[in-house]
Amino acid sequence: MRERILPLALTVALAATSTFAIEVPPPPTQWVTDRAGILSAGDATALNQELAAFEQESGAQFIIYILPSLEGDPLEDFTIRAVERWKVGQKKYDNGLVLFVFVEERKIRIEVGYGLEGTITDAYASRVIRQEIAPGFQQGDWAGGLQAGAGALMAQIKKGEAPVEPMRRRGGEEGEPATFGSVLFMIVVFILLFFVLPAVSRATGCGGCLLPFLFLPGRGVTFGGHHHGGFRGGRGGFGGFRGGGGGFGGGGATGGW
Amino acid sequence: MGRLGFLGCAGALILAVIVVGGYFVGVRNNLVGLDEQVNQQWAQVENQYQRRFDLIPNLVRTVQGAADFEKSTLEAVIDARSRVGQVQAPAGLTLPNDPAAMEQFAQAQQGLSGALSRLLVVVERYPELKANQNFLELQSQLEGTENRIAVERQRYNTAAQQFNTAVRRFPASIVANLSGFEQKAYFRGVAGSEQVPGVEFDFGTMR
Repeated sequence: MRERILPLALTVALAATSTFAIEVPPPPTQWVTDRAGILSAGDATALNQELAAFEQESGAQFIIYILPSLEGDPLEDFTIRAVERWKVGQKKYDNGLVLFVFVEERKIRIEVGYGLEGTITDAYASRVIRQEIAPGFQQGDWAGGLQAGAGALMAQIKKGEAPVEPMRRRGGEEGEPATFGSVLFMIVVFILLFFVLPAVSRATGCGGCLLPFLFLPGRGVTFGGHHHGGFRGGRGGFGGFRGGGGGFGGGGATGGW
Repeated sequence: MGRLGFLGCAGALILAVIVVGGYFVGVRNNLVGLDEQVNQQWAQVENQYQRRFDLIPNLVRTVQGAADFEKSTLEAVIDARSRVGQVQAPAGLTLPNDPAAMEQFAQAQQGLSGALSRLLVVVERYPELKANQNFLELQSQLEGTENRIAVERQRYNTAAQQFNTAVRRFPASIVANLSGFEQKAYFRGVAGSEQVPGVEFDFGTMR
């Protein structure tokens, strides 16, 4: 009986955890997303434009995401899943920064992309939360707290020798050069296909009975690079936000107010 | 005609060898790529642990400055740190390729995690420290590092799992065997720490 209950209990436990985890929202299309409705439209727009302009200027992607609640999810677990999905920051520089606010839990988290870890250290992120954002939030001044926090973070990024580059549309991804081995293999196949095979076919009088050999299933050798999502952040102007493919490694800080 | 038949057979044979060889090369390259990913990800894990390791002397110094800070807690941290320093992979092997050493590494690191979190709990009793700017910075660095460790560890396990799956799948497993690829060790927590305590549900009272 125990043997049968155990797996069942496990499934129940698993099902329970998976319903608790809140789904990562789809990538935001603006720099400021306020799903808790704590900002006035004017404040949100102003902040949004500021962050959009910052991206134009520095290349770094800095967005703010406000959620009403975590619904019991572990905070850092949720935020890392979110930034992994949204891919904020330029792919080449990993210069993304996301400021999360969870209203019900009274929690703030700053996720720092790999490329900005040297500029926005954990200690600095933590200080911004404690000294710039939290005081405003404590007085119910959401916009003021975010302004101050965002201002400090942007100033620090500009000051630091962060790997940033003014936003410019770069060309498509360069494919990986084919390796010598795969080129050689290609040549051999080519020779076989066009010289040896016809010769053999002629000799045996069996045209094409060897062909199936060439199409054995399998991975075989791939050529060229993979072309994945070449879209880059910031399509000029203030059209909307789009993650550029930046990576995150859990750097940053968590705090509250 | 016999001569031509022989030629045909030889041609077919050569062709078969080349096709099989191509398949072999393809699979092997794929495994090499996955293997490299595992190694890279493992380097990230080690980086983050190293970062934590390097933070500790500073932390200890700052905490020691606080009036009569509990000695035993500090010593536990220092001891745990030195135990981490002693774990080393046997020559020529990386930890992912050596489950026993991996286990040791995980245990030593987890011991250090435990000692550090105890330290942070004890600090709560020292308001002087909690107001210390230097300590607050160190604490946030430590928290950030713990978070990075968790992230990289999970990514490592995912990479190892991808590799292990590729190595075990049937036709590729032959290639893996011939090329000497072995399964990677997962980074597991110390036995018990990840088990759900008290799995015995009483379903009667649950509804």
